[in-house]
Amino acid sequence: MSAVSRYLDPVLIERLNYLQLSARRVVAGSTLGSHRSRVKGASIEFRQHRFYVPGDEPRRLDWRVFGRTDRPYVKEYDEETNLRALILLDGSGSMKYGRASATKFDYAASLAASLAYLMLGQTESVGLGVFRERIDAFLAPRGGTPQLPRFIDVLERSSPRGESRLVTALHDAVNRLERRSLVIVVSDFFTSVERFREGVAHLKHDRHELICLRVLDRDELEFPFRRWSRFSGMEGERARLCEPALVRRAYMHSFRRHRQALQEKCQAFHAELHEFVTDRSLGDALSLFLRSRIGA
Amino acid sequence: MTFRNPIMLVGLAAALVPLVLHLLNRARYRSVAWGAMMFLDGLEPRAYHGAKVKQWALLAARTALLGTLAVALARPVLPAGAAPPVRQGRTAAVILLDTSASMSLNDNGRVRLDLAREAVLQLLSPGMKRGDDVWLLPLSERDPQLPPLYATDPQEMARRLKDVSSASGQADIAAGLRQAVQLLRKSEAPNHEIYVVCDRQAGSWRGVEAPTFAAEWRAIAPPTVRVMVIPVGTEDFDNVAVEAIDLVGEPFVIGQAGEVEVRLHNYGAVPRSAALLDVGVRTASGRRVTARQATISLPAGAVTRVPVPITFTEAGSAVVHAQVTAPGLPTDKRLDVSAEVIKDIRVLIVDGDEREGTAQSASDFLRAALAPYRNAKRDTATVTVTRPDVWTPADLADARVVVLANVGSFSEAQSRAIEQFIWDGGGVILAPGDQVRAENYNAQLRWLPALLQPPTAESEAGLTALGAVEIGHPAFRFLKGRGEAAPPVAVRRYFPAAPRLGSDVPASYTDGKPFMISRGLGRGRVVLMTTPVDTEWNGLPLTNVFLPLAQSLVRYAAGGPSGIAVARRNLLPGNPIVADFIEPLDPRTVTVSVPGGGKPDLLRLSMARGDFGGQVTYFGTYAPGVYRVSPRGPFDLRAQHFVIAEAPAAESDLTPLTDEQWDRIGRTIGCERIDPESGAVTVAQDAYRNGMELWLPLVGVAVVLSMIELSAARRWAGRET
Repeated sequence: MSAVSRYLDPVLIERLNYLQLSARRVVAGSTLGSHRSRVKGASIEFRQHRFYVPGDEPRRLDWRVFGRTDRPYVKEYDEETNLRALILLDGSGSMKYGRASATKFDYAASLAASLAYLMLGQTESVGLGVFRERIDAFLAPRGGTPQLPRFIDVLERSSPRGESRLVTALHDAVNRLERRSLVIVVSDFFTSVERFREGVAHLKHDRHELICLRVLDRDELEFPFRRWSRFSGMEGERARLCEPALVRRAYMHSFRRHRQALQEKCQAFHAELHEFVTDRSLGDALSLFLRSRIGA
Repeated sequence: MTFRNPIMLVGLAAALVPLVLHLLNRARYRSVAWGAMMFLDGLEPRAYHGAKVKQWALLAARTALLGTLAVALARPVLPAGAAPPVRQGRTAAVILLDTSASMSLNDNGRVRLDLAREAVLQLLSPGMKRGDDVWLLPLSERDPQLPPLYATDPQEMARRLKDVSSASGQADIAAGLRQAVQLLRKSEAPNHEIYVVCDRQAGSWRGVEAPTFAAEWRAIAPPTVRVMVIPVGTEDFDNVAVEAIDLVGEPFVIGQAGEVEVRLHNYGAVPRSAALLDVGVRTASGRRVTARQATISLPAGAVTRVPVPITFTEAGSAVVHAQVTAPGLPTDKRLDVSAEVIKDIRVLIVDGDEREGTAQSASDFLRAALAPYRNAKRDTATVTVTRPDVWTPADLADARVVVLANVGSFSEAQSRAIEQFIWDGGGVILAPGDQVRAENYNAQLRWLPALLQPPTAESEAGLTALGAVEIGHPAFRFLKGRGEAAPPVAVRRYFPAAPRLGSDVPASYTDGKPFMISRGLGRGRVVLMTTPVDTEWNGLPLTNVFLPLAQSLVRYAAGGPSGIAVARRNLLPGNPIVADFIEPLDPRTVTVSVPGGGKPDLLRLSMARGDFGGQVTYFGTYAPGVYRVSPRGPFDLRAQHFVIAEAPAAESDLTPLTDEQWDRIGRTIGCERIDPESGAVTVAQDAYRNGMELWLPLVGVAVVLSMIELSAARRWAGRET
């Protein structure tokens, strides 16, 4: 089976179905409302013909016109939805941390798939970008049932490795998005807050909405190590040998300061920040997230 | 430092356990692939450095904890100072117990001697074992024939300690230490100990503080001896004492005004505004007369002199006492002094230049000065005048003082008779003038206090005056309190004189030559004036000082026997009483009364009887107070009073030793000082002998270290929420 069974197991799907109603309200809360958009896209109602340019999907060629005129034209339709969402998933090495059964990346991918499932179920357009130093895999936001397998396929082919540069990924995403969209960043946000601010500023400048979903392991929250440990960085940082008990206080202080700075920056740009801890059921966490969104 | 259980020092290896564990843990570290490195990398170098410091601090605390416990289990012992180690076997100990007068002080409700006895009892039990040689040596003037208390049973010594109940005299700790060393040499015990149980009075240690004592102690003290000093009582030094009674008007004459001067010393730092002074007299017959009662103000740390006029009504041996009511030692509040009262002063004036008319010759002036009333009861002296050519040695029998005024020469018999007269207690005053040739005097009167030179020539250049005068001399004491240093007496001529060895010069001329030279000879006194007492060579008889000078001079010259008697009758504890009687003595009738009303020790009483008198000697004078020797017989035998001083005046000075002095004493005799106020004597004694066990303090240190380690580990490595 399929990738669907890996990131969207039946139990989760059942739970997501139950959350459909909430999801709709989530989306509604994120966009301006349902109306016919002037934005072109793949839909039912035809709008106009346009001369083919390299990069257009061949299936969108109007073969009838091509046969009559011997010129390639593509058909353009009005999109029904007014929501385009791009989920930016952190695929860096730090997302590999976690127990063998569930790394942060697995949890984040499940979270992204769940969101995509929910939004596609609402006939919205959902895209995916898996980023490291930049966006390595990109699935443009689209609606429709076939988008989910494509989404899952991208996830399936991704694995956490390397260094992450969220700000580069945000710049990249802004450049790729043609229209105003909802950008959902799923990451551990182990990055400089100042650099993150630059990316968010760019995003906001282009009037995109931003939701930050932070995925953390319980160890990262509590630093529970006792024995002498050699911490080797998962993104190529220098290894450190220390007695964890003696640096724990400083670590916790640094972590809390970073989290607070992150929250302040998100608030400053009217972006939402939610934390997900991997030892918590994704269904519960998602339910809580959606409820909080409704409340918001 | 020694260890009683050294095998446990092996446990010191346990101190390495934390280090080994630390290194093992460090070597067997766990590898963690960590995503949130930014929070570790972001830590400041100081945080990592601090963590390292904390690691090593915890490691040090754990290592020290285990090491301390291991050392504590080994029971380390810290030796006390430079004390020699204790050897197996018996102990010879000398306990020097201060029984001086200062130990009678009531210190906050407890008498110091009682505190000292308690300290000694603590030393004896359980510090001493049966079979140990223990000497107890009371430190004060005591009977030297009495051996120190000795016992080989501490319990017996404790019982005998109760007999040491009186405190008097002065303690000489240096002498006690010397005697203690001699006693220790008698014992073959391998351990030698000296304990000094005393108060904090500095005066008792004066001998130890002498510069030569340190070298002496190093030479005599055996290297194995351990010395421990246990000072008892407080450092209170508030005390008022009757320091002395000066018999100013000596000799005292019946019916004539005399004077004593009482010296009160307030040693304390607080002035006393209402000290009650009581001065009285006990006559030869035992009658008691009060001379003066007064309230005296005593400034702090000063001596106050109180003059008390006294008129005696009875001849013989009297006792003058002064008592003050004030805080401090009970033993120095009263002072008794034995005084001698004579019936009268008979003066024989041999005038070598007697002239017609009044106020011409020396005898005229002297008679006017000494017997102005021609009344034996009112006059200072009874005066008889004679010429050199008619007086015989037999004339000296009735006289107490002979004045040889300008007597030109003496026969051999006269000279010898005068010398004998002086030796027997008579007084001679010589005042040579123009009738005298110096070489004759030097040749004939070999007992003169000075060699005379020819007189100075009568000229303006030779005019001189009375210069330096020794106010303290009895002959010039009447000048005390006067503003002028010397009376204005112009002297035209005089005999320059060279004083003989042993002579005093109480007054000189302004050119430095002696005006008066005095000397004691036998029981009597000789006074040589280098200018006559008429108006030929000087204006002395016409000045206002002549009368008191003549009276004082005669009184002084007559006081030879009295002075000797006073000196022989005022004694220190232990000095024997020697009472001489010129009348035949029946030993059966002699009674000796001792202070306190007890019976005299007849074994210490001896009598010698001669044809013309006798001598009574009593040796048991270790109790201070008044002793009275009174024989009865066919003649008028007067009782004689002897006074044994309570304590030397220095004993009244309770000034405590300073810390510097204690340190110096400690260095000199290598002693350990144990203060009973700060801990039990037995514990200190054990610590001094065996050193101080350190296991308990070390366990305390271990507990503290464990608490530090726990709190540090909890604080530095504790889980935070």
